[in-house]
Amino acid sequence: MKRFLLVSMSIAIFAACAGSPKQSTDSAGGADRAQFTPVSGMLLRRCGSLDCHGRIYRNFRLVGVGGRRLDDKYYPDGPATTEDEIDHNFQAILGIEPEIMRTVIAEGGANPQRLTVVRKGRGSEDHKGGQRIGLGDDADICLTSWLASDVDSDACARATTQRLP
Amino acid sequence: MRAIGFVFLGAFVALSSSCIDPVHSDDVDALGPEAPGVPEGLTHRAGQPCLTCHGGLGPGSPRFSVAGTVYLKRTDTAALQGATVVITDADGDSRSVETNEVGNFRIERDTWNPIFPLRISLSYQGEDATMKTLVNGNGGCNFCHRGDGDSTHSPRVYLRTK
Ligand code: HEC
Ligand code: HEC
Repeated sequence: MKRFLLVSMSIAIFAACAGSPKQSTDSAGGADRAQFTPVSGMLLRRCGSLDCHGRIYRNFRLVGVGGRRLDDKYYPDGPATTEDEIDHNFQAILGIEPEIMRTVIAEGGANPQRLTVVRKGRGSEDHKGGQRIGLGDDADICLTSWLASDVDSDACARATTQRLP
Repeated sequence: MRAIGFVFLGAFVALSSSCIDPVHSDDVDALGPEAPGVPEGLTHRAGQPCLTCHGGLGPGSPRFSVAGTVYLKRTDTAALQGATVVITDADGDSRSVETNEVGNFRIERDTWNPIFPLRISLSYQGEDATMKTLVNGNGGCNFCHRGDGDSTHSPRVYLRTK
């Protein structure tokens, strides 16, 4: 009886974890949702305006304040970005190249330029929006540190609030 | 898993059609005919996305780099005449334009072809309003700012919240 309880308890714990955002972590081969929040803010700011990846006609689509909203009752100018929107952005970036993303993350973020999102952001691959992330700038550090599973939140915050140019 | 497959499929479809966006003529048609009594000129189509027609694909000419409409309040359709719109481009180059009696303004692309992204602010008799985010690709304000706004459009460009 005791044994049964123990087993069912561990199943319950397992199931509970599987239902949490960690689940998307697993399917993405280690991409970290918990660390993604500041990255989402940076991406939204640099790429997510309504005339770019805030458009529904783009395949890589970002949502949140300053861009398109998931909730019909919300506006681009408010209220603040929701957790659902950050989840959406997380799935959006993973969905571009899931296999390569998995490999890059498994290798500790080495050679991030294997990812088209990094190349396009840096403008090193044909990109309608040109260069939005400079090699080694705060936005670049933000994205690549997340791929290395050690996100630099300060760099993300700077890249999010920075006035460009 | 299914979701990822779907994203993949979507990415494929989008990739193969990424240059087309929705058909330009549909976008133009969706804006409807000219309002009766308003000539095709600087007072027409206030609040509409000017660059849909003046963005190089026609039917409007000349081609504009930046154009839009400014209102007094977020919640009201009264135009703001005499506001100064300041546009600063990625090189720090900037231009100021005044709005007319229907709130419209425009810069012809032959006069100035700014480098994106753009920073935007506007002022009127000591009051001002600034756009916090950047314009990354479309110089037509009303492409993003439309009417009272919704989940995909910010409200009309306005000076005052109320
Ligand atoms: C649905 C399409 C459409 C939209 C939207 C539109 N225009 Fe036009 N516009 C035209 C057409 C067509 C003409 C006539 C072009 C011609 O005579 O060659 C024109 C003419 C003009 C002219 C006169 C140009 C000249 O030198 O004769 C101005 C100025 C102008 N538009 C400003 C605007 C502004 C500002 C907006 C946005 C508030 C706007 N237009 C939105 C289609 C449009
Ligand atoms: C790519 C979409 C987009 C374009 C194009 C755009 N805006 Fe905005 N604008 C926004 C969003 C989203 C906000 C709300 C968040 C913020 O302040 O950035 C905003 C806010 C503003 C504000 C502050 C709120 C207000 O209305 O007082 C002003 C002023 C403004 N925009 C003016 C303009 C003008 C003028 C143009 C055209 C030259 C323009 N915008 C073009 C998306 C856009």
